Amino acid sequence: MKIPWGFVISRVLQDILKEPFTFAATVLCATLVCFTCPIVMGGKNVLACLMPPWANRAAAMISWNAKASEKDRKKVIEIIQNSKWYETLREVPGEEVAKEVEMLAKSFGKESFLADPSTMPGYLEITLSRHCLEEPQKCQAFMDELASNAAVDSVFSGVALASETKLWFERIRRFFIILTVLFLFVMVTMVFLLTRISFYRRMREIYLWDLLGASPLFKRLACYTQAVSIIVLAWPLSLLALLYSKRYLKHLEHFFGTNQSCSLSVETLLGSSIVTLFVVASFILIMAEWAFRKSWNLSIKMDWTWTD
Amino acid sequence: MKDPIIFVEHLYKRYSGGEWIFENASFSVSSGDFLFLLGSSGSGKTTLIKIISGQESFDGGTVLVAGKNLRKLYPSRIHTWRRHIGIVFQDFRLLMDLTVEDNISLPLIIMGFSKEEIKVRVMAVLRLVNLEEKRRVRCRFLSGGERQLVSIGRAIVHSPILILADEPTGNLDDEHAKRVLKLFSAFHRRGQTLIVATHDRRLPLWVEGAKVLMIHEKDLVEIGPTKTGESRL
Repeated sequence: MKIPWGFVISRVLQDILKEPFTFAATVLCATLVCFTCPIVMGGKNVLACLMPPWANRAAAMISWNAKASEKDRKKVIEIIQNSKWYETLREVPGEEVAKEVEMLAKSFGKESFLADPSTMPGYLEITLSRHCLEEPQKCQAFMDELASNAAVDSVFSGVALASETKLWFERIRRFFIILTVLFLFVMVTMVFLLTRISFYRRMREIYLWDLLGASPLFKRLACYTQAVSIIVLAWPLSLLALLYSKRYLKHLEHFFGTNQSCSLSVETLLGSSIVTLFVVASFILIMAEWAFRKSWNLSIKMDWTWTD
Repeated sequence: MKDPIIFVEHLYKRYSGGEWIFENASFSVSSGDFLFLLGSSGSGKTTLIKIISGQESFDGGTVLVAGKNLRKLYPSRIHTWRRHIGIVFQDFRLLMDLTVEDNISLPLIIMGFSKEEIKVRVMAVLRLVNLEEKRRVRCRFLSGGERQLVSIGRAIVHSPILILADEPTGNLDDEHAKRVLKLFSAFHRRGQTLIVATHDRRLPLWVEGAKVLMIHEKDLVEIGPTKTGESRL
């Protein structure tokens, strides 16, 4: 069947011009969906930026007992190296500690802090592995065990603080994800409701077309054309918004002072945006069919009042 | 005797849970007939028009229109049947933001006619209903009588085998009602089959040779054709 596109498009345009705000609101909601989805899809990188590197790390310091022999100290180091809790290890000798303390003392305006630097005990500087943040209680127990070793004077561990910080950042991340999903749900619902409202307004005319012999396809044409026009406007708008927001994602990176790249590449954005386009387009067309059927079923039950 | 274009036998119809509107009603309309469907308000005139046009289903009986059994017509194919009929409504059902010619061309656009053919047919109809000068006027600026003429034009533009009119003069004064009936009479003389549902008992007297079908106690009773000379149009 030959489709009178000129007539269909003119009817859709007339309807849009009659209620421009409803149409604009629908396009805006669809744009927000098209904008948010690629961010969520590439969100692994972006959301990682919400967690600074120090929240992913924990450190510990073991100060030696002044009376501990070299052999005892090596034994402790071996225990640490054989465990899964450590990532890097640095032994700081007493002389180096003495120098650091002396520099510290000078900065406080004192000539010398210690009489004999050679009596200064050294310490172990440990960067703990990620397992420590995943199982903070076990890691802490390991630290406590080390503390009870005769060669060890004391253990200073940041496990509890780091795991707590990590937990909070995880919560913030989850909160953002839930918020994004909720936002997407609200936007999709709004697109559906606004589409249905505009379709329902058109039903009186479609009812007349039906009486004049319009085929099921013809009856749907105007509704589908409108749905397609929403996508055609929303997608480029969302793409522009994505490219514009790219620079702000970079600011996020600077804010936390991370080395990892928070900003998504143009290719990633374009790719996820195209995937979003297909998903959103299919979704809007399915919704359009659903909205059409609902409005149509309602419209054939009612006797339209045919006034100006 | 001509072939019946409409053949209704043992028709039963009622709306859900309601009283019967038609009980064992039968009638037939031959090709080229001008039939008035008379009945008081709520007697079932509109329902019968809707049944014939495929807008309403029925509970029992047989309805054959132009050889098609409406009961066996698939809902998805009902539009092909509607393309063979023209409907005139009491409330005109025009798209008020469109011009006269746009409204008249609507069935042709829907049926996929070419632009050239649409132009030729619309011009012919505009001449027929005498609205050539107002062809570019939006329907909202027309009088009630003119709107009904546009509605009639829209019903005949695709050359239907049957014209159904549901209270076409219901919203018109006598002068415009006579103008509408004169137009119908002209169609009838050209061999067009027309069914006009009305509660106005005067109308059949204005048309020569029209048949009258009365809805009486859930049945349809045929009253003979109006005699020659009774027409005052």
